[in-house]
Parts: sequence; structure tokens; C-alpha cells
Amino acid sequence: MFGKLIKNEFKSNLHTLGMIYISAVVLAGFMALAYIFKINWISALATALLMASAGIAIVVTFLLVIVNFQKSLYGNQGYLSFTLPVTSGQLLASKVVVAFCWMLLSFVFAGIVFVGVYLYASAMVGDDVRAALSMLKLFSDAIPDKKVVVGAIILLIVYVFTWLLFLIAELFFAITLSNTRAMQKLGGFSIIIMFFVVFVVTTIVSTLLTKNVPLSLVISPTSIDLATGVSMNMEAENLIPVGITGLLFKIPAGALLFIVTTILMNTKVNIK
Amino acid sequence: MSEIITVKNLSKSYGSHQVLKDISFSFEGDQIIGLLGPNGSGKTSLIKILVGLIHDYSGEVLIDGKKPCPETKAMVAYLPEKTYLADWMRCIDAVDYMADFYKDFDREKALKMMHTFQLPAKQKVKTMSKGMQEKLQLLLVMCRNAKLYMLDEPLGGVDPAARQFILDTIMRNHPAGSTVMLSTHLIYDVEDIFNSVLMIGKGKVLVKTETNKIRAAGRTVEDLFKEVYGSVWEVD
Repeated sequence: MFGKLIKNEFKSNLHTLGMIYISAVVLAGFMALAYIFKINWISALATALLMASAGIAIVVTFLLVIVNFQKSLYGNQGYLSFTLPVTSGQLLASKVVVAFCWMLLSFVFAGIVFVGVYLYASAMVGDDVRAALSMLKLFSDAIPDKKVVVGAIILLIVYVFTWLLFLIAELFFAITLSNTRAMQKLGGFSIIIMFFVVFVVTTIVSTLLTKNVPLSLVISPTSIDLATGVSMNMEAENLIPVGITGLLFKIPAGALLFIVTTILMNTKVNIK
Repeated sequence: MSEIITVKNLSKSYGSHQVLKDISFSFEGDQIIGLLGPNGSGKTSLIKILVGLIHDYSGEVLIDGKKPCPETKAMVAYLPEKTYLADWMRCIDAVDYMADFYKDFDREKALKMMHTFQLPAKQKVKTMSKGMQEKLQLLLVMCRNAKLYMLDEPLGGVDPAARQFILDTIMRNHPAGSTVMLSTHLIYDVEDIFNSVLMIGKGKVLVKTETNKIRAAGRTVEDLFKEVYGSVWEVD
């Protein structure tokens, strides 16, 4: 059942988001043709539109995740969703997985577009793209321990995944809370109010924890070490401190938000 | 025969407004039950509790001996008053969606009924007229081989021809041995199909009886309805 929920959840967003990505592929095709045939105005226009599509993909995905969650659970579609032979936890989990995948895709897409446009622009003005890539490789080779590179990449992935999942947890919790009978009295702005409240509270807690328990991972050319503070001379010693208190807070806090959201779905939400 | 619906001391409030006040009743399976009452009498709230859409109530509700849960949802086919299909769906997507989630959904029958109902397979739900959307939802519900059908006001706001079409569809397609609970405040033309009726009003069960007992007393369900609801009936 969970697989079927995910399949249908993907299908519900595929048309809108698919159009953006198909448009981007078409624009990239125009850019390639403009490069081959040296048509500068098409090149400039397609590049600008492709850059815009990257931004649009992020914004539209974000809005679609919110609208889809609200409509499919607490709008008229909720009459179907909540009478399916699945648990509320399965419903929520399927929406989290699909929202996460779409949001991650939009960020990866934007990253690829910006790197691609940078390399394309370099090629258009006559720079050697291969030289730029070689520079990047030289920088990587300068780090003696490859495990540090791998560790830093894993840390970055964990950061991005946790940040995304926590954002989804905050959004879904705020939307669900605003659809409880008590909060529905606040009207259409209740989702914004609830999200703002949740965001402010979690940010305050995270900041206080970071201030009082300043845990960080310090990346050096040879290792990644846990530290309980950040000193001023780290930069001079080629050390990069990465605070992890906020990250460690977001993992249980996000899980708690998902659990409370499921409980609210089971007990308190009111489908209009 | 075992009870398909059991309700014990059920109460439900919306804020200070109590729509169901400590009601209790039960029904055995294999029959058509009319859930009757004027608008605002609590019929929809009762159905939403039975299908597992409302959870904040007091008392006990059992479907085939079990509290509302995924297992009971698998045996209940529910037709709400509202259009519940997503905008992105086409007719065929809605059929596939139901086939995905309900083991008792008869996809072949649904495709045949789509043709009979003149519903184009590739037409999007959002471009359909209200009548077409209602036909599609009725089709999706009646193509299940469910144990219990909960139909919330399927006859509300439709013309007499459409009403007959809906009734025919329900009568022809619910499987033998299944139970149908149909809520309505429009009794005319419908009362002959009921085996039992449950009349609710002011949060209470006002009448629960078998229709053959009403007829044996030389009366109709409509007569009883008028008597029970009095002035409320005239307003409707």
C-alpha cells in the first residue's frame, strides 16, 4: 500500500513539475544549437530563461508541496485520502518521501543549471572549460587525505537532507495544526501564522542550544574532529569549523513534529 | 447474522453545538438502510464517524465488530456529498487509483460502466460537469464488492431522472449479502428500496424500525417521517 501511495503522490505532481523540467531540457537544446551556430541573441535569451526555470522549479515545487498537502488531506480530496485502507502514518510518510524527492530534485536541478550556465558562459567568451575543471581537480588533489573529502561530502549531504526534512516537518505540522477545529477559526491565514510560530520557536531553541552547547566538527586537511567550541585562530590554521548543534537538534525535533502531526491527523483534524 | 454496524452511546459536538447525543443502535447486514432526517440533523456527522473521517467523538462505533481502522475502511465503500477526486485525475486515473487501493474493486466492470455512463476515459475530472463527476464517483463506489456501502445524500440536488438513474445503479450493483446505508432527506420515490430506516433529529435516534413493520401498520415511511419531524418537514 505504501508503494501505491508514493506512486500516486508522484503522479499528482508530475504534470506541473514535469513541464518545468521538460522546458529546461528544451532551453538547454536551444543553448547548444545557439553555441554551435554562433547565434548570440538566442544563446542569451535561452540562458536567461534556463536560469529563471531553475528558480521557478524551486519556488513552484515549494508551493506545490504545500498546496498538495493541504488539498489532498484537508480539502475535499481528504474524503478520499482518509478513507483509504491505510494508516495516517503511511499517508504522511508517503507525502514526506515525495515532497522530499521533488524538493531535492529542484535544488539539484538548480545546482546543475548554475554550474552548466557558468561553464557555458565561459565557453561562449572563449575560456577553456577544461582548464577550469582541471583547477577543481588540483584543489581536490591538494587535500592529502581522501577520507576528509568523502567525510565533508557526507556531512554536506546530511546537512541538506536534515534541513529539507525539517522544513517539510515544520510545513506539514503547521498545515495540519491549522486544520484542527480550534485553529480553523483563524481562517485562511492560519497556515502562515502556524508556520511562523513553529519556525520562530524552533529557531529560538536551536539558537539557544547552539549558544550553550557549541558542538562542531572541525575539518582539517587531514581529519574531521569533534570540537566543543570555535576559536578565532582556526581560519589561520586552515581549519573549517561546522556547527552541528542545530543539526543534532533538528533530527529529534523533526521526528517529534512528524509524530505529533500523525497524532493530530488521527484525532483532531477537521476535513471541511 | 452478525451486526455490521454497532453504535453505543455515541456523542459528537462541534464546539458548544452537540449534533449527536448519546445515541445507540445497531444493524445486521444484508439490507438497505435509510438514514433519514432533515438537513442539519447529524446524518453526515454520523456517516463520517462510521467511515473513520471523524475521530473526536465519545462512545463506541464498530463496523463488523471492529473500531474504524484501515481494515474496516477496506470493507466500506463511501460516497460523500462532495466531489473528492483530484484535479489531475482523468476518468481512467480515478479507476486505476481505486483499483490500486481496494482489492474488491472490479476494474473491468468500471471500464464497462464508464462506457455505459458515457464518461470519456481520458477526460480530466476538472473539465467534467458536476453531473459527470457525480456519475464517476457513483461508478467508483458501486464497482467495489464491498461489505458495507455508505452513501451520503446521493440523491440531493439532482433532477428526478438522475435520481432514478442513481437508484437503479445502486440497486443493480450492490452485491448480494452487502449492506447499503443511504442518507437522504428526500423520501419520495426512495422509501420502497429500504428494509430498515433510522430517523435522527435533534441529536437523538427518533425512530429505528423495519419498513415492513411500518407498511404492516398501513402507513408509509413518508407518513412516519412527516409525523416525526413535523414542522421541520414543511420547511424542507
